[in-house]
Amino acid sequence: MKNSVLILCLLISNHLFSQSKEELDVQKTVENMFQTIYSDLDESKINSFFTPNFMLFEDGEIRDLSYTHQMVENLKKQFQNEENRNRNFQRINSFEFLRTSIHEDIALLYYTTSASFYMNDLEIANMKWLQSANLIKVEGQWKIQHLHSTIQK
Amino acid sequence: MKTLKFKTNLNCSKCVAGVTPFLNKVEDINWKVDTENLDKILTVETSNASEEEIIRAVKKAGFNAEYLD
Repeated sequence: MKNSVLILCLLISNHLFSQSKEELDVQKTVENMFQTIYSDLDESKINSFFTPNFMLFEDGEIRDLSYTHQMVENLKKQFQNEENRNRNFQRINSFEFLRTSIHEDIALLYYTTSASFYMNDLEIANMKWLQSANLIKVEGQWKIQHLHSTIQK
Repeated sequence: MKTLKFKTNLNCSKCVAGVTPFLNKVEDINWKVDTENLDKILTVETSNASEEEIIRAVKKAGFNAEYLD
């Protein structure tokens, strides 16, 4: 009897631990995406974070992957022009995850995120959003299929 | 050193990132956008730059700026 209870406890704790690790993986995917795409402007990584049918609902518009490619390309052009090469522009993101739920290969996240913008170590702006994200697991890797973003008041 | 204030439509992250390179081209300014204010106030501290130069830079980036007296 004691052995059965012990095994049951181990199974439950193992299940809870693995679920928690999975939740952290999903959250990390969102954090890494913002750092890589929106802060580092690394266009080459877009396909590794998003599904091909990705949709972003923002400012009352539906945006897709081609919009994201275009946005990163335009920003890179602006920051790499001759006048701006000697400036250090940084976007630092932070997150507070409100709820993370996983159902097999589908994850739903609700969170607040903020971005502080710095130029030569001087803060020039700070913005906050309320967002939700849907992710799906593709060949063992979490990918963002849908983001819904609204300015937080 | 003088402080200039402008009402703008810099209401998104790509707006802030987009206007930065253009404001960087204006010499001798420090600036900050208050995106939490309804009027998205751009505050510029400068010794030499004029309000026209700032407005021109913001408009060149594709946004609006209106000087507040």
